[in-house]
Order: sequence, then structure tokens, then C-alpha cells
Amino acid sequence: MGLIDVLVGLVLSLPLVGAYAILAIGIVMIYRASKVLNLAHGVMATFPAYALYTLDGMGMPLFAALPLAIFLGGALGWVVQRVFVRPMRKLGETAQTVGTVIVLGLGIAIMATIWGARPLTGVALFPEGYITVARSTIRYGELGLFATMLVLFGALSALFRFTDLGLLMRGSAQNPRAASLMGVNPELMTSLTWIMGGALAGVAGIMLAAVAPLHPYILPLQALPAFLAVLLGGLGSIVGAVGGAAVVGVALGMVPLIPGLLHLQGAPQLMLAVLAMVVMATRGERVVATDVRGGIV
Amino acid sequence: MTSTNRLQTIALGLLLVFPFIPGGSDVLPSVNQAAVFVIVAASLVMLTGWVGQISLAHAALVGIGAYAAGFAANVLGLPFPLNLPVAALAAAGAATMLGVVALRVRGLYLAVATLIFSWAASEFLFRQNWLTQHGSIEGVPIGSENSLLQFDLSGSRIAFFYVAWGIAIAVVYGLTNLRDSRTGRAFFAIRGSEMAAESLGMNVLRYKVLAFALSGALAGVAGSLIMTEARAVSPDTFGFNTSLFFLAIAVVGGLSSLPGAVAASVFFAALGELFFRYSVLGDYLELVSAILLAVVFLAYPGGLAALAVAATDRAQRTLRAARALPTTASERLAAMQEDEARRADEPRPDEEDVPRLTRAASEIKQRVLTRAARSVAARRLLEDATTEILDFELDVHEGSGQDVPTAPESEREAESELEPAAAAGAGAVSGQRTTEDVAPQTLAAGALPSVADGRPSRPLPDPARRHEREVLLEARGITVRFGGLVAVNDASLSVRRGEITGLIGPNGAGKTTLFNSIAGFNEPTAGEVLIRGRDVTSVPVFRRAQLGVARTFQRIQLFPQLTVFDNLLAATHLQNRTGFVQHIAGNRLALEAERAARLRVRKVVKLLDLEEVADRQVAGLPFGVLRMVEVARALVTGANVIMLDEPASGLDERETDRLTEVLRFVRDLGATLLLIEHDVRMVTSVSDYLYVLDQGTIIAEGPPAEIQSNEAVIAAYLGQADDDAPASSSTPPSDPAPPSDPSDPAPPSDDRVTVAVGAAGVVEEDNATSDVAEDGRVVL
Repeated sequence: MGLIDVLVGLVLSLPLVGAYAILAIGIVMIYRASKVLNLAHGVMATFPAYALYTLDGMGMPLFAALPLAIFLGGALGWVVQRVFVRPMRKLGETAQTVGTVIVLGLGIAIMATIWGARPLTGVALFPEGYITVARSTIRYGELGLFATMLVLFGALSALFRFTDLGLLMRGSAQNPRAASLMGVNPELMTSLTWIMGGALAGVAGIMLAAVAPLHPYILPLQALPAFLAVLLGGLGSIVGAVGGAAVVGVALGMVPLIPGLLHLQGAPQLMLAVLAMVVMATRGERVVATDVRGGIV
Repeated sequence: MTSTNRLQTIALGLLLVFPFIPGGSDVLPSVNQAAVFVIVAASLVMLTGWVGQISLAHAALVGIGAYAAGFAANVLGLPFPLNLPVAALAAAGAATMLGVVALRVRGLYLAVATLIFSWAASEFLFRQNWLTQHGSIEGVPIGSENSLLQFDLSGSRIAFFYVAWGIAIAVVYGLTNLRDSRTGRAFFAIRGSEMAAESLGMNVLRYKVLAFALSGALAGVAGSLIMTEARAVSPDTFGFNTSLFFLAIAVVGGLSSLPGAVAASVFFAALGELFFRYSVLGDYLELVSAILLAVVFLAYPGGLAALAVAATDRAQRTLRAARALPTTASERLAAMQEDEARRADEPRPDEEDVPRLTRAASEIKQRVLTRAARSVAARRLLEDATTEILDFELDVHEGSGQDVPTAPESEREAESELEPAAAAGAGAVSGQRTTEDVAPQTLAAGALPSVADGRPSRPLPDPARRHEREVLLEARGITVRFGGLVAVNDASLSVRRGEITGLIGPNGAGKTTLFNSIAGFNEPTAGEVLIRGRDVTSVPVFRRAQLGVARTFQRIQLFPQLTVFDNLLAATHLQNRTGFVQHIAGNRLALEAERAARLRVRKVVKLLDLEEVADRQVAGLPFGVLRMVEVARALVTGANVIMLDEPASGLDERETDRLTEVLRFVRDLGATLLLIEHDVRMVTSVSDYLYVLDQGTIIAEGPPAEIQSNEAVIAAYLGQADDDAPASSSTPPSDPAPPSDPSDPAPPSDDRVTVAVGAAGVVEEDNATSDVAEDGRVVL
């Protein structure tokens, strides 16, 4: 593999890095607020993509349909938290996680029923066309996905670092009781986090659907690499999540360049599984340690 | 529960003739499918419901089993019954891999790991040409070679019916046996608290991997059945949505209930049949299943099992009210025992608070226990089991209210100097006497202080002869560094047989760090820990428990979903020598070990007067009771040394007094205690020997009376620096507190005040006033 191949691989990885990073940021935010790994994140990404597809099909102009679809993603996040996660808090972590798993199954079943278990082409947000790097091409939509991630990451970092709202959200995620003593409603902040997480997932899903097949069984699983990114970057920070997404995205983006893997069926999934084993074996204990500390209190 | 038995017999009978019932053969494919569901759901119930490990990879495991079965038939020439073990082994191997991941990541992340595994299996593994070509049985001529051993299950639905349901029933039977055994309790303990499970001597690593392997093997068996019937399968069959479907069956059944899993399996198979039969319903099976799952999960998180229990309970109450007098002798006996149990329960004022379910369960348990207590074999077994690690005997002779005086001091002293093995035997004798004396009183009085009030508390062991007593647990030069911070600096202490050894120190002195090093929860940077002279510094926690060291936790680590009784039962782990295969088979040895364990727990429950709460779930009990249960649990393990981590923290004064009585009582039973505490009043009143830790260094040791007047100790507690402070005779003042150290705890806590009151008054006052003057902060 020459230097040029590596460069090509990096460029090809950009959309993956973008999508995984946006998803990972949402997963981290939700984890911090509710101490739940939201396995329904993939459904929260796919549903707005389908919504946009339908709205677009109904002839709604993009400038109206896009915010509406993203808003629906936020609403879905809110519903998941209210209905499936919060009531299960008393029953413990396992029950909460099972709750999000149930949303995953239910969401996929509903989407497969409404839109059918066949691949559709999502609505393109960026003009058709591509640029050529070395021997490979990268579409504008894919570049746009990466750029959108950078913008969102910057905006969220600013929100958490510089605004009062960001401070309140961080504070009530870390210690809800102390936050409520300061006059903040931690439940409100948790809901707000889930809404933002849902909207973020929606953005990722909508943009992924434009460059990859929109399919009820396939798109929701695109959140899995994002979970790995979160594990790699640590559950605590969105910077770590983006860093983890970069590693996972590049690793998966390189797959087609590795000679034996190009024509191997399921090679990306194999790569992901191998990566998961390595990451969990090396990083596992640290995550567990933080989990235990948080869990006992 | 004869009605349940009758119900089971009827159900089994019906099943036996099912294929020949009119119309029965029409729905046979779905009924056969239900058997496969039962096997997979049962394996999920064990792994997720009992051990708490979420698996979203079960469809993949079933798939691996299916392809392995096909491979065995196709390539190795091993047809159906012979390819079962191949399938089970292959899936168990894959599951073991997941289990190893589960050792590193727990709970939340395990779900992700299994999901990724499932995805990789269905997209990569099951799509490899070599597997799909050789992995299906299609094309293999039937009855060629091994025709004697070969069942053509694809040809006959009826044959498949009997084979599949036979396996399913065997699986449920085996797992039911496993549930109420040593292994099953280890599983539940791991779900409750891995730390506590380790400290009870359970090898968490081994049990987790075992659970995964067993669960995988069962999934593999199911896969083999699927392949044998279908003869060819599509990789899409084993996608993650199938895993979700299996999880749905387990959750709807009640996640930890085997009968629930069976019922849910039948239910979902019936649902499938319905959709297959009436095409009007359309292609909505997946959607309906998902909605059903969501509704059940939200409305009844306990699933079908919880619903059934509630319904049965209601029916039973109605039945009991309407029932005439029992006629046969055995029914009368059962009724009498039931009445006895109820009477024991009744006088409680909070009767109505107790959920009826719990009460019903307690009645059953009571009956089982009465039977167990009468079993001579069980008693003998218990006695056999209590020689090596058990130094004290918890044998309560029920109903014997005779007055036997406590053993004279000299006799006890002599005992403790005997060889360990001999001491165990002698301890049994004297222990019996003690408990005979105590138990009836405890029962009658119903309040804990009476345990010790009834007889004179044993005088403190003679400090002058301390060196003669055997050192059971020793820490030598323990140093613990966290980065640049030295939390514990060259601390040594020894715990001698029959004593209560106390370790005190102000907040932040490093007590808990030292404690955790001794208990094995963190490895010291330097120094060694010895149990009876054996170096255990890098020995894992569960092995230390096996060597006879039990512990309690400052933040209580009970198993919240279990009852008090079952929590204690989990602590019989080391007493019980039966193995996992015996548990599944439920053979005589396993049952007798189970009876012995229950008997043992019942004794401790009596001794520590926990009868009122024995059948209550731990979650929701008052804090003081939980502490007592933790002490009881340590006692049940039969450990030589019980380490207690700040047992008085969170207790009020009355509860602390109660605890003090209990600890003395436990010592008088022959146990040795190491107590870490910052409630100085409590620890000085109960300890025979004290170590004082300040800023990571042992600054003094000696009998409590000596320590209370030790100026270095008083200085440490009051934050007073005094370079000339005389140390205790036995330890040099290696590191006296520097003046106004910033790490010195500032706010005056309760124990400081207590020290000032309890220790030498005049000196302390001087220190206090000067402290105010120098630092400008008020300490007293």
C-alpha cells in the first residue's frame, strides 16, 4: 500500500468519520444525561431519513421538510426517553438498556411495515457530482457529511463550553441532585439532551441515507461503529467521541484498500468485529471502572 | 404445591399425545418451532435473566450451531444425533469468546459487543461460500452410512416433535435444577454485585464464562434441530432481528423465569401459526411481536411470570377460603405445618405491608426447611463440611432450652492455642453449648440485644498472652501509592485468633485503602499480606475467601433482588462441594448439599435474629438491618477471619450499640474479626486490640485502654502537631502530622468529639485551644 493509497483511504473515510462522529456525540450526550447506552440511536437516525423521504415525495420544499424531519428526530428522542428509559430507572441498568433494545426492534418493525424492507434512495441535500482524488472519487454529499460534522461539533463544543445552557446541561448530567438544589430542573435538562441527541442522530441519518442505501435493517446498524468510537474515546467527552469516530471511520474506510478484503463479503463487519475485540480488550477495564463508580451512587 | 405438579403432569400428558389429537398434526410445524424457541429462550433466561449479561447475539449462536450441525453431517459424516455435540461445542466456543469480552466490559457495553458479533456473523461468517456450500444437509443422501444412528427428522414431523420437545423439556428441567443450586446462586450473585460474589469465594471469571458457554451450547443444540429439520437455511434467518425476537420471548416470559419462557415460546409460536394461517392478517407478524413486547415491557416488566404468580395467588386465596377441612393424614400434616409457619409470621404489626406473594413464598420455604431440618443425612453432611475452614460451629439444637453456662475463660483460651484442626473440633463442642444457650432466648425475646444481654459478655482476651495466639491474618509493610500520592505507608498489622482487632484513624487516613489491600481489592505497591503465614499478596479475592477470609462492605453490597435468606444462602458457596453437572442433574448429593446449606443459613438467621426479615427482598429494607445481613452473610461463609469495613457508618447510636453486641457475640462464637472504623467510641468498646492509622502510617497499636491515652493518637485526631508526642511502646512515631497540614480533615466530625470525650480530657483540651489559636479554625 503506497502513500497515495493511504491518502485515498483517508479521503474515502471522511464520510464515515463524519457520520460516526455525529452519532457518537449524541450517544455520549445521552449517556452522560441518563447513564444509558442508547441502542435505539440507529432507529433515531433512520426514522428522520424516512420522514424526509416521505415529505419530499409529498412535494414539500427542502427548506421546510429538512427542519421538520430533524424536529421529528428530536421528538422521537424525547419519546424514547419518556416512555422507555425514564420509567425503567428504578429497575436498573439492564432494564433501561433492554428498553432501548425494544425501541430498536419496534422502530425497525414499524419502518419495515411503512416503507418496506427494500433499499430506497434518500433525499440528497448536496448537489450531485464528485471530485476525484488519485483514482478514487468522493461525492459532494459525502464531503458535505464530513463538513456538517465539523460544524455541529464546533457548535456543540461552544454550547457546552461558553453558554449557560451548556453549563446547566453538563452540571445536571453530572449531579442531578446538586443541580436541582441550584434551581435547575434536571429532568428538563435530561429531556433536552435526548431531544438534541435525537435531532443529531436525525442529521446523521438523513445525510447517510443520501449516500448509502436507506433500508430499515441496514441503516440502523450504522450506529454500531459509533458505539465503538464512544468506547474508544471514553464515555465522558464529545471530543473523545469525535477522536474515536476518526479512528473507527478510518479503519473501516481502509477496508476496500486492503487487497484480500475488497471482494470479501461482510468485510467491513468483520473489520468492525475485530476492532471491537481489540478495543474492548484494551480499553474495557477503564470504562468499567467509571461505570462502577457511577453505578454504586 | 400439588396443584402445580398436577398441572405439569396434565400438560406433559397432553404433549405426549399431541400429534394424535384431531387437528394436532396440522399445527405440528408451529408446535415443533415452539420447542426450538423454548430451548433458545431458556438459554437466554439463564444468561440475561440470571447472570445479567445481555445477549443480542443468540440468533448468531443458533446459526453457528445450525451450520456446524450441517457441516458435521455433510463433511464429517455425522448425522443428527451425532452432530448435536458438534453444534453445541461450536456455539459454546463462540459464546465463550463473547464471555471473555464480557469479563472486560459489563452491562451496557456487552449489549453492543454482542450486537456487533451478531452483525459480523450474519454479514460475514454465514455468507462465506465454504460454509453455505458444506454447511447445509441438503443433498446428503439419507440413510447411507450410519443409518442405525440416524433419524430422518426432516421426513417425519412426529419424530421431530418427540425429539425436539424431549430436548426442550430436558433443558428446562436441568436449568430449573441449576437455578436453586450453588451454581445458580453464583449466577444471581454475579448479577447483584460482582465484588460481593468474589468476596464470598465465587470465581466470577469462571462462572461468567461457564454461563456463556452453557448458554451457547443450548443455542447450538437449537441450531442443530433447526438445520436437521430444514436441511438448508438462509443466513438471513440468523440476523440480529431474530436475536431481538428471541430476546422478546425471554422478556415477555419474565426474563428470569423458565416457566415464563416456556409460556412465551408457545405464545409466540401460536402467534406465528395464526399469521401463517390467516393471510388476512397480512405480513405484520414482526410488527405485532414488537408491539406486544413493548406493551408487556412497559406495563408488566415482570412479564408473563409475574402475571401468572399474581393470578395463582388470587386463586389460591379464594381456594383456601372455600376449602373444607383437610382429610388425609398428609394433607393434615401439611396444613399443620402451614399453620405453624403462618403463626410464626402473624404477630407482625406490619402484616398488611408484606406482599402476599412474599408471604406465600415464606410458607413454602418454611415447610421445606422443616423437612430439611429433620433430615439426619443433611445434618451429617453439614458437619462434615464444617471442618476445614469453619472454626466455629453454628449448630443450633432446636427446642432444647436447657441452661448451659458459657465455657470458662481458661478453657476458651486453651482452645485458641490448639492446632487449627483440633481447634475446629473443640470449637464445635463449645460452640454448640453457646448456641444452645442462646438460641431459645433469642427466639423468645425477638429483639437482638437479648442475644448478649442474656449472659455475661466474655471478658476481653488477656492482652499479656496475645503473642501466644495464632496470627490468622497479617499485613507486612503495606505501601500503596496512587501516582505520586502515598495513601498507605509501610503499614503492618496482625490479626490474632479469637480477637477483635480494630483499625482506626481520622477521615482520609488511608484505612479503607489498607483494608482493600488486605482484602485483595487493590494490590499494594509494596509489602505483603499473609493468611495463616501463607503469602496471598497477589492472590485474587475469591481465593482469599477460600482461605477463610470474609468481608463486609462500607457501601452495602448485598444482592438487591434476592431475599435476605437467599443472600445468606449465596454465602454457603464455599461450604458446598457439589459441582455444576450435579446441579443440572439435581441428584441426591446436590439436593443434600442444598438442604445442608439451607439448614446452615437458618441457623445463622436464628443466631442473629433475622427471622422477621428472612423472606423479605433486600431492596427496601432499613439500612441497619442490611448491615446485620452483611455480618450474617460473612458468618455463613464459615470464614476464619471476618473483615468489616466501617460497619457503623450510616447507623444511628442505637443501631451501633446493637451491632456492637452482635460483633461481640460473633467473636464469642469463635470468629476472629478485623474492624475498620472511624466511630471511635464503638471501636474502642468492642476491640481487643487496636491499630491507629494516620496519614497512611500506623502511629500506635495496643489495647484500647492504652490507645485512648496515647498522645500521638489524640494529636492525630485533633489535627494537633506535636513533634515530641510520645508514641506507644510498641511502635515508633514514624511520621507525625505536620502542623496545619492542608490534607488534614477540617470539619469537626462526630468521632472527633467522641475522642475528646472518651480520651484523656485535660491534654485534649489544651490541644484544642491551641489549635484554634494557631489555625484560626474552630475544631471543638
